[in-house]
Amino acid sequence: MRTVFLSLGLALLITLLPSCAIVPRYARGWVADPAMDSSSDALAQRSLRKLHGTREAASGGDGLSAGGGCACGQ
Amino acid sequence: MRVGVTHRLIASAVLVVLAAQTSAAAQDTVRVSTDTDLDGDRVDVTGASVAPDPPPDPGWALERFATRFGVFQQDGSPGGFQSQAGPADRHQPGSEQTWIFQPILYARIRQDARIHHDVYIPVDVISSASTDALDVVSSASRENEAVNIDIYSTYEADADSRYTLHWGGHVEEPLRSATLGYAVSRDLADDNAVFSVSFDGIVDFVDQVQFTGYDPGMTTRFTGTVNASLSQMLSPTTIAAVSYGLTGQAGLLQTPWNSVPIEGGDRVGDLFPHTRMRHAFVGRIAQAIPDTRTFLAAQYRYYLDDFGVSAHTPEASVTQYLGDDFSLRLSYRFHTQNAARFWTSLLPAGFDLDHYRTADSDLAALDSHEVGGVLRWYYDHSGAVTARSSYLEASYYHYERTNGLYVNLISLGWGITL
Repeated sequence: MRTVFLSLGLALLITLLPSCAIVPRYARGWVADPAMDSSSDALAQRSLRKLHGTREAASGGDGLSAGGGCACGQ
Repeated sequence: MRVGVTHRLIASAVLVVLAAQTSAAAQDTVRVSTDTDLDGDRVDVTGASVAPDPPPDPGWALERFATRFGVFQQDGSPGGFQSQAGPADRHQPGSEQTWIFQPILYARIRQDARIHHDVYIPVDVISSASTDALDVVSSASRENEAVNIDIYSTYEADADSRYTLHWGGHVEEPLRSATLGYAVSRDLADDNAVFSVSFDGIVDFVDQVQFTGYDPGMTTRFTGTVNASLSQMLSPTTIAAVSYGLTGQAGLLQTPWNSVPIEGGDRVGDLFPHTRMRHAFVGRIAQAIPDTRTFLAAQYRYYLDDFGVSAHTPEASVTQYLGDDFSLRLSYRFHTQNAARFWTSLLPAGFDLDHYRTADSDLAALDSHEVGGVLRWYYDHSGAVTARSSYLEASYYHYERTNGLYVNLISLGWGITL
């Protein structure tokens, strides 16, 4: 449990500490590139998610259900 | 004479006042409708943001279409103890060899200016891994098909808020499944951050066909999930995100046709607890390097559940543009998990039938490594490549587990904005 909270706290810290610096719209060209957004590759992500979800016992945390549907038991 | 002058003065004054009012109104109109700040946002006379005019209603339209065709080739040695395909000695793990052909279709359909639907239709055609128990008893079976439909209907309430209804279903030989969910997404801090929370429920109707071929009929399984995520721009070239997912399950959780070897040569079916609580934490960061048009991404996921499984999954990727039109992405993923506390490869003779048990290799202690590469061609963009640019791509992934299973995945993809 300690590791869980340590990981979550570290991730939150990385995200939130510099968040007071607002990036103006005209400076967002690089973050709009599809390489910066994992959801721009949604079909490949779905396919890989199924590969992992049906061969490992530890899915979830990615906005979708961990379990249910096909591949019962994992 | 004096009266005439007075009338002219009054008339002039009225005209001046009217002109002044008209001019001021015109200036206010200009300020409200066209003034922008340095970011390009529209502002009123006080500098406050002004909501944009609603776009004209485009009506129903197909905005974007994408498809992907993947081929999975799975094999390995020694295989899984849950499988009876292959070994003459029933204590030994059986074959997990299979081929899966997986076409996926995606379409974004716009209903009106505020509502759009994202539709996903994946199909799996699986050979030599059917759940038909009679096939499993004799050898790896012949063929199984599965089709899924996932629809995300999103209402854009304003420039910063989106509400999404998630609905769909899944059909395959031993399973019928229905999904219903709801999500709220809110842009914060001038769109520098996005907070989302979603709720999903899944009902599965599962055929309980046993490894012996006996079929006691259908039963149900319920799955509920809550997910929360926050993404944040840290700089013009850096994005970070964190998310947490909680999933609760109840009902028949084991794979009913799996079995566990027993000392003496017999087998018995899997038995799982009837409930399961699962937690997953994810942190992700992506960094652009403009000088070389290189993009780096790293992600870490921690998972634990009340079956006793915990797992760590770090992964990283690098995307490099090759000229104006091509990009190459290379990725590596590592996963390590411990076994469910009731996992075993061999039950002792005289074991307690009420004790939970599984020999499923997916629930064993294992490490896995995955390497992959994606070559993408953006063939019709003018200016910078964006998520709306049309592309063709080819990819290859190799996935390998330390307990004897590997998968090769080859795919071709195409996406187009209409």
